[in-house]
Amino acid sequence: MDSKYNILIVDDDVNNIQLAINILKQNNKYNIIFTTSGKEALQRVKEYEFDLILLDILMEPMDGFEVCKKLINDKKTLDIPIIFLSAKDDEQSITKGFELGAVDYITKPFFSNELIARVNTHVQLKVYKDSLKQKLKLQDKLMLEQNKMAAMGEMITNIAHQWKQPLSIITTVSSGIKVSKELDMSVDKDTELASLNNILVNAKHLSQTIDDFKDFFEHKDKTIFNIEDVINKTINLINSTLMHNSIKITKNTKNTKLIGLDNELIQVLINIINNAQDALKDSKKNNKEITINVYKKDSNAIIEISDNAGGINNKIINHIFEAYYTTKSSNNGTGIGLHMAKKIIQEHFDGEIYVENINLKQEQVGAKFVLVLPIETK
Amino acid sequence: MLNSKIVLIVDDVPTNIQVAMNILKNEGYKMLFAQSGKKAFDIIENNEIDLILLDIMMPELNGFEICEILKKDNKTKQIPIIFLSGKDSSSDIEKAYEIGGSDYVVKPFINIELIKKVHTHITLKKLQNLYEREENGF
Repeated sequence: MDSKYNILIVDDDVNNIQLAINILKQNNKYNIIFTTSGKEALQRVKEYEFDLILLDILMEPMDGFEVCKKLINDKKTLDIPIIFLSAKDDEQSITKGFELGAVDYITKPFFSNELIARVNTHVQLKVYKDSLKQKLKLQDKLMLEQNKMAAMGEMITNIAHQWKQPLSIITTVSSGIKVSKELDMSVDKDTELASLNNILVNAKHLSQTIDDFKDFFEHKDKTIFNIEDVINKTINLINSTLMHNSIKITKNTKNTKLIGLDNELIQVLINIINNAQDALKDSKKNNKEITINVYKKDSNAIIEISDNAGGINNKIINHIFEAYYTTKSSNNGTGIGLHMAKKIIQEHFDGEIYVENINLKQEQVGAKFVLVLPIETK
Repeated sequence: MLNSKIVLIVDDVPTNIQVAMNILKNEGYKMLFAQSGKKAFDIIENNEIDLILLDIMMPELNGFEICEILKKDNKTKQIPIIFLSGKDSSSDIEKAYEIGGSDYVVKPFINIELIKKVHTHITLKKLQNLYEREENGF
C-alpha cells in the first residue's frame, strides 16, 4: 500500500460498496478495500492498517453493531474511527451506533459531499491524533535518555567516591614496596606477599565497581530477578554518597521474584533514594535514615522507601510525579526523576507508585514512597 | 481540556436554542447564543468562538448567507460550522457542505449525535491550531 489513507468498506450489498467507492475515489486520497461480511472485516483489520471504516449495520450473520463492538474492544483496532452507514434512520439505532463508539452515523441514501466531508473529518482527526501520539512517545524516549544521563552524572560522582579508598591503599602499599626495593631494605617474603595481595584485592574491588556501573547502563532483556538483589545492587551503586552524607540505610527484605528489566527498577530506586538523600542533606538532622521494606501482599510485591527528612510539603505532594516539577535549584534537579519512576513502574511493570507523609518515632515525620508491583506479569 | 471552549448557537427560535443548550450543558462548554446573523457577527467579533451551531431558516440573513460571510473572512474562516436544520432536503445538505460547513445535523436532534459532532469538530480545530502553530515555529 502506498502513502494514501486506507479505508475499509463493509457492506453485504455490492451496489452500496460501488457507490461509496465511486464517491470516495473522486478526491484521490484514499485506498479502498472492501468486504461483504463482518467476519471478513475482522480478518482485514489484522492484515492492513486502516484509517477509517465505513460499516453497514444490517448484515448476516454478524451485524455491524457486533463488528463495531469487537473492534472497539480490541486494543489493536480501538483507534480506527468507525462511521456507520445504514438505511436504519431511527433514533434508537443512531444512538446505539454512537454509544458503541462509532465516530459518526450516516443514513442512506446519503449525499456525495456529505460522505466525503465526514470521511475527511475523521481521517484528518486520526492523522492528527496519531502524530500527537508519536510525538509523546518520542518525548518519553528523550526524557528517559535525559534521566539516564543525569543518573550517569551522579554515578561518576559515586565512582569517584568509591575509588578513593582502594586507590589510596594501592598507592600506599606499592610505594612502600618501591621505597624498600630502592633502599635495598630486606622485606620478608610474607610481608611482600601480603602487600601484593592487598594491591590485588583492591584492584579487584575497583574492577568490580566498574562492572557494577557498566551493568547498570547496559541494555538487557526482561528477566526473572530477585527484588533483594536489585536493592543490594542499588545500594552498592550509591552507597558511597550515602556514607558521605552520613545517611544510614536499613533494609528488611523478603525474597520476592519479579519479571522485568532489573536495571529499570534500579533506576527507579536510585531516583527515589536520591530524592530522600537530597531532602535529608537539607534537613541538617543528626540521625539521617532511609528504610527500605519489601514484602508480599496479595499478588503484589510491595517496596516501601521511607526517610525521616520531615515529609513533603502538602502543597507539592500531589505534583511531585509531574514532568519537570522540581523544587531543587537548577543544578540539582532535572524534575524528571520521579516522573520517570512513575512511568517505568506503570508502563513497564504494570504497577503503581504513590507517596505519603508518615509519622515516625520521637515525633519525627518523613516521606514514604510505595511501589506496588504485580508479581504475575503478562 | 475542552472546558473553556466556546460554542455559539445561532437560531431565531429561542426554544431551539434552549434545546441545544440543554443537550450540551453537561459537556463543559461555555455557550453563547444569538437570534440573528447581525447579533452573531457581534458576538464573533468580541469572543474567540470555537464552534458555531447555525440554523438555516432565519429571517433577514439566513444560515447559508451567514456561513458564506464567515468563510470569506480570514479571521473567521477557521471556525467550524455545524448546520442545524429541520429541513433535510438534498439541496440544503449538499449546499451546507459546498459552502464550507463542517457538518449538518437534522432537527429534532439525537442528543449523543449532537454532542459527538460538536466534540469532533472542536477537537479537530484544536489539533489543527496546534499543528499550524508548530509549523510556524512556535
